[in-house]
Amino acid sequence: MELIQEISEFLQKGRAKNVKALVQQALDENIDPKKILNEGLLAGMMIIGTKFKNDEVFVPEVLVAARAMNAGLAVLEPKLVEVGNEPVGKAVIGTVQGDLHDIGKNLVVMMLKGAGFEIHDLGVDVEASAYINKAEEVGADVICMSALLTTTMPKMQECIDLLKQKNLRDKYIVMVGGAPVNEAFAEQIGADYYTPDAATAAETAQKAVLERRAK
Amino acid sequence: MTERGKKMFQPDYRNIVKCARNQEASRLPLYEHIVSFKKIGEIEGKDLPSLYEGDDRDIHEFFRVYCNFFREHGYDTVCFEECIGEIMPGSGALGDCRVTPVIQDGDDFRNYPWEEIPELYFKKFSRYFKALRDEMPAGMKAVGGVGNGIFECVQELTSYQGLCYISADDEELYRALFKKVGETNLKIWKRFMEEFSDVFCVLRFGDDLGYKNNTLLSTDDTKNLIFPQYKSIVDLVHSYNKPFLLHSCGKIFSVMDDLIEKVGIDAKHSNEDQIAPFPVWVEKYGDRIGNFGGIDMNFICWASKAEMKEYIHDVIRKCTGHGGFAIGTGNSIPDYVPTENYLDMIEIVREYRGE
Repeated sequence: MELIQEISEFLQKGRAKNVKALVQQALDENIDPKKILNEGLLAGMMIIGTKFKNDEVFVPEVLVAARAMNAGLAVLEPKLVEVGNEPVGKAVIGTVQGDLHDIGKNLVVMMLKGAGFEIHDLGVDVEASAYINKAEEVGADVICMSALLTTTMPKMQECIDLLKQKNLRDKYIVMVGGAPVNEAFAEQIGADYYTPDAATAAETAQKAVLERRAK
Repeated sequence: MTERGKKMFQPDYRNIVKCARNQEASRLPLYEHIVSFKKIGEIEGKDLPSLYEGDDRDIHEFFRVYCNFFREHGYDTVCFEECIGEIMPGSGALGDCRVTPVIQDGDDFRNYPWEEIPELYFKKFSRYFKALRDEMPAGMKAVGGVGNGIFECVQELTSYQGLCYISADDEELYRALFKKVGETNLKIWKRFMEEFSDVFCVLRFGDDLGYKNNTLLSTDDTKNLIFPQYKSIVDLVHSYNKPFLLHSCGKIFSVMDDLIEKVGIDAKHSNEDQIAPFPVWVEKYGDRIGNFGGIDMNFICWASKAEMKEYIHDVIRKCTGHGGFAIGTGNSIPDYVPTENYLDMIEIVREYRGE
């Protein structure tokens, strides 16, 4: 089996040590780091994401595959910097203020990484202004907000209102998700996108960034 | 203090027992999994959280107010549980991702003070169950018991994400966690049934097995690792000739047949409209188990009384004639549900009952 294919296969099985070793081997064999990233790590993560969306795998498999991807990325990233690899886009993400749940948010982080995004993860209990400050600081394309509780959902609106106040609303693609969130709520608060699962979130973010850049 | 919703009412816990045994009750019972102490205190004009933390006299006062709230608002039973997770040393990783999990590997597991847990549970909670017994109004009993199921207790120690990593890194530990927690919880349940089962008419624990799209662990792991531990507890409850109600959030259709046929649950609570409206659960399982819940908690938070009335009447109409069911929110009444909306919900059901 081709080395790049092996990286993808081991990543899908969540075998972090193997992925790490194979990425190092690929670099030692002078394989283009971008090829290792796109055709090995990201391709493997994309397959897991699609399977997850189709209910063919469960959350644990996604988390373990993502851990393997991160192990490979840790080896690869210095080389990617050297060759000047550009991310698909930059995303600022966090669970909204008052909410301490992070599993859904972490899944989206992993899927976005798998889709080639540079991630700025603010963690949990994130104030509306913190999303905006970080987005401005890093030159983000996307702001992603997650909530598990009905009571914390309004915090998403706060962030969007603050963006409007600062005349920054059109600068960012705003995405929302989480257990109590739905399409109608996203529309009501003026978010750009609601997605029901992490894999769809990554696909949607990628598409939205590319469309915006094409304009 | 509000007087809203307080009407003459003669409770009869047998209505809930009938529903749990999947027979339609002559009077449709109201049911909640949890109503926050703060919310009840707000309605009753008492600082219930402080009373709960007080001395024995305070705790009796707590239960007097708590039980009377349910009686005066048309409930046949009082919901009450004390959770295992709260007393497990080093717990907390279930609901707060900032907590470092106390069990991360085999050494942590082996060194964990499993044997202390039952004693810790009764040392802390026996006085609450005794006070509940003392203050229980005539005609009422409690629904609940030992809170937290097997899956939640495991996550209290490992966190969900940590458990997922353990599943990949150490299969033996992964399996051992469910078995050990199951054995520990069964010890607690055995003593609990011996000492307090007279206070309860339906026994219950909550164990959220799913999320919006699926089960949180694979279907196979849920069935093979969690359910055998459930069965020991459900069998114990049945040996006291009492029904068992499972509260589990999430889309768990893929494991419902096993819960009914292999574990032997008598009734199930929890529903969210985003997953499936309550009548769908009743249509799927109403011929085999009692169904509790009905009204989406999110809906209760924002709906007008007129909207709520239409929704509730629609749920009742669709569910009547399909086995036992008890009505209330599909989840619980936490602090953030607007009080007026909660009281509206109760009022609508009581008006429907002709009270």
